[in-house]
Amino acid sequence: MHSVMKESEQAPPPASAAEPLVAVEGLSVDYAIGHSGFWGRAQRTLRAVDDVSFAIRGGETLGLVGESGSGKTTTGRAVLRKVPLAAGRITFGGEDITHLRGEQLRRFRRRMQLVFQDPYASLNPRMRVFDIIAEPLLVHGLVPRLRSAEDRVAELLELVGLPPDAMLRYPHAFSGGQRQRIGIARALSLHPEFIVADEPVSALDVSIRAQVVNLLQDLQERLGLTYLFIAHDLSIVRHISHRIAVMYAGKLVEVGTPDHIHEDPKHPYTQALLSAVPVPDPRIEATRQRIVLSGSVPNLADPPSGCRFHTRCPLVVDRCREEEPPLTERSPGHRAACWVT
Amino acid sequence: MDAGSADAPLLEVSDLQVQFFTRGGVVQAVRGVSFAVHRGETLGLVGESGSGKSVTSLAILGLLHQPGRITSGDIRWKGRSLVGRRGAKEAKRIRGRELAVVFQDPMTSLNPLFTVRAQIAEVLRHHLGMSRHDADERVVELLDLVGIPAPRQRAGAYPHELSGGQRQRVLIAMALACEPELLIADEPTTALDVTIQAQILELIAEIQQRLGLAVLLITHDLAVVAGVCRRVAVMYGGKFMEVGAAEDVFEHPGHPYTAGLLRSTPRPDVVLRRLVGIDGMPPSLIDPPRGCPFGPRCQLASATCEEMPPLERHGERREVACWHAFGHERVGAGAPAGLGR
Amino acid sequence: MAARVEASEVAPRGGLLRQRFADARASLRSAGVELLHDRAGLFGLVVIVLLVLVAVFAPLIAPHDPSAQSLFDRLTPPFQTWSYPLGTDALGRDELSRLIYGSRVSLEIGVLVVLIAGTSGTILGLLAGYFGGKADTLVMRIVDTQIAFPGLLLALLIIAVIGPSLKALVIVLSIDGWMVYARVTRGVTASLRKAPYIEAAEIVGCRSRRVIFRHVLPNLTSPILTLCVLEFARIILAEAALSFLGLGIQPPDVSWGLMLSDGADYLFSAWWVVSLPGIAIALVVLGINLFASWLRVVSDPHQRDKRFAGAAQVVGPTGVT
Repeated sequence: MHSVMKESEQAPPPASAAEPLVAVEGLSVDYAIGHSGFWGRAQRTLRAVDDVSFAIRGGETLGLVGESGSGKTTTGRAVLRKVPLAAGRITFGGEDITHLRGEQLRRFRRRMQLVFQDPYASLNPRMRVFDIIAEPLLVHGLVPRLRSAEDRVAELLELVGLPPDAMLRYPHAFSGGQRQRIGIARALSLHPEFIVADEPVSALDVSIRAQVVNLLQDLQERLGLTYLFIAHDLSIVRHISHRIAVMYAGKLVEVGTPDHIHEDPKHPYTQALLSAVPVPDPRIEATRQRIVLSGSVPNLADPPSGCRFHTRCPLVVDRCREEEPPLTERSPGHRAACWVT
Repeated sequence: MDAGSADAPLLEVSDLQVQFFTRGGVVQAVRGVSFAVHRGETLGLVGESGSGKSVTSLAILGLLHQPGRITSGDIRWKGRSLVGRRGAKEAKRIRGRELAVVFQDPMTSLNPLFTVRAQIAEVLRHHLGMSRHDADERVVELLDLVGIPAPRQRAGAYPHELSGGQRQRVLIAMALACEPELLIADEPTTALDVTIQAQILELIAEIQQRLGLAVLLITHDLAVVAGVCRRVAVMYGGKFMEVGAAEDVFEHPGHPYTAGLLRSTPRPDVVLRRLVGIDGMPPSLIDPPRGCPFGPRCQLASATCEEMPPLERHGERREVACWHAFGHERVGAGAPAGLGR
Repeated sequence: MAARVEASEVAPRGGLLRQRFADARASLRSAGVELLHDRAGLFGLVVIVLLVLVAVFAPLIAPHDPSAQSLFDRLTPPFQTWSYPLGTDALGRDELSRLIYGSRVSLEIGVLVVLIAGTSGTILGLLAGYFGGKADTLVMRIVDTQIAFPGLLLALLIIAVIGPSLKALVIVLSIDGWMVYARVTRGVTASLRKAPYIEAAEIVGCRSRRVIFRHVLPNLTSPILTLCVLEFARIILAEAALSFLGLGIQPPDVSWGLMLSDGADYLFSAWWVVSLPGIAIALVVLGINLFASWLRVVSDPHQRDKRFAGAAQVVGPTGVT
């Protein structure tokens, strides 16, 4: 009874260094807000992601960092074509996938998958682990019957560090970290090239986070995966990313290597973000000078004029209120959008 | 110990045991925990999920409901018991008045149907019998205390008009309304963005100093404790593993779990090639093993660990429950733990 | 080959299937045990089972033909003779037999209406909740509009056109009864829709049909089942009301509602003609409600644990003073 699938663990041919695997240009996403009338028509729209562009090379990890309202989660969903685009273009492996729909889109899903934030809600509580992991195979016709997928499921469980008999049980029998591994196994079942990891460790205990992040790193090496790693924790992102992009209120404000971002942040928001992270050292905490931002993220239904950060920025000048700064190159590979720095 | 502690403690917990009677078995959530909080003292209770820290705070507040129950031990407020039927009456009297609490999720802790003013005033009128006019004035004072700009106008706002950070400030204002002596903050910043977390923690520290408030801060994030608390207690598997002055514990952790937790907490100023965590998972609390709960995950574990180590004094301000206390420092296991200055 | 054999050994082919059966049996058994401990729920189940048995075996149980008149024996009080254990009505018809045959109508109408209204309402609610947008708005507006329309008026209209009969009752009650299923289903589906595991199923590549039937529907069974049981009770009452008003079952057929209307004139002279069907209706509806109550608790793991913990409270008040 041999498996219908090709042998596992064979990394797909790496994309050439010149051409990125995933490229996003001018991405914008709108949300409808407010309803009225007997037929409930949407009243206004809110631009959650505004003109975002980036590219990820094969085998690389782009860390996308931001707080709530930054648009990072929406960006991740948009790249996967899970939410409709208001503007922009998405290219995957050289192909323009912006307007794919229906069956074509469904088949394209095999090449890109998602790892969710909440390990407790991302697995159907009424399905066994086997069913959860084997479903993608069944749905894409990769196995003739569900039962033939047992070998593949056992393989995947082993890949993520779980015993094969885990497939017999239900999600509630597992801890948060283990459930997250199951979610990763599910994402890997179709041999995707690209995985969007949406805050994969935020809901896990601190001592477990390292396990899952290290697993993701190992899998990247073994299988040649490309990641878009979305997070709000800068320290974790630093470890796993080859490059980091910082978002604020729907816009990209800074892009660079982890060293650029952490050692020499150019955008005042990045600086504030780094400064806000508490350090487990009471002496440092007692004496450090923090940049504590006042106020909160602006309402995107009515965004501030000019630079979106100007309402909270400690370095604000008049120009910031009038004109929106573009992303300019500060050093090779390091770009930031600020008039002042 | 810090200021004003020569007198009797405000809160005294003695050998508290809490159990949950579920169909799946009896969950021993808290297994014999004892500590005291004195006037003006700041104690951080640190633990991951399943450690029992939140259950402890619910038990103290008398908010523990079926299927959970305090099965043994005592909780005393200024010498009077809060346990049992008579205790429940006492708990009701002091709750919100002498003993206040701020919970984790500001999104759901405020009633969406009432204004901020109405909700804070309710506390004042219920506990202190204030007139409507006096209560409204005090509300403005409180909102100013917690740093809400234009407090008189904002008092008339509804919760949905406020951001997460602002809502948490309102909750803190509500907690401080009757000038309590102890504030229990149960994961007050976990649901907030990093930059907002910095604001709120700074606020709590400032208020604590200004009002001489005692604070019991419950969190899973060691770094959060570092900025606010003078003393820290580390909880695991329903028991205390270590208690001591925060500075000392962070610099020279005595318990291997504390050391592991410190190592797992990523810091923006430290770059590691690979993230370090703690292998394994927290123990099941249904029929927990007899010995040290951390044994199965501990690198220093030996045969003696089958017997639960008691909390023992190590020096003047430290208690550690471990047969191999400070052993990791001698052995030098793995990456440096603590700050080891 | 060796590696493959190993994998099959650890997760044997039959393992999954066996596991599925074992789990199903275990959960039924534990539910059964809990039912035995809940007297109210048990009473409810007994009532329902009795109703079904009586209705199904009516021709074997009933001592007389329910429409057989005997003017000589009219208005015989109950508990007097063995031939008419529960007495007779104004036309000398045996009350017991009429009660027994009346249960058939209640059961038949209850089951038919729940099936028809339940299925259509659930499907519409599923579509509305899952696809949202225009489909949702359309279905919900129809629901709102129809709920606003008085049920009795609707009944009158329809029956005026097609004439009173059991079939007419089923039609009227179905038209008037599907909305609640649609609302409940739509609500649960809409909230499930946002659950990450539903999103996961879509991202993995499941088509809408599979998502609805494999992921959403299983989570609906519990609330829908409880709703069906409660609706069953309501239908019985509705039928009684309509038949009482002369809009439903017509003689020589018999229903509890019709029996109530027959006995209305004799309320003070022959109390049993009205009271017996009234008690029957009340008992059945009560039993159904009690059973539905138990069902609701059992389907919700949170409530189930709470009740379990309350029962386990053997120890007295705790604490040291």
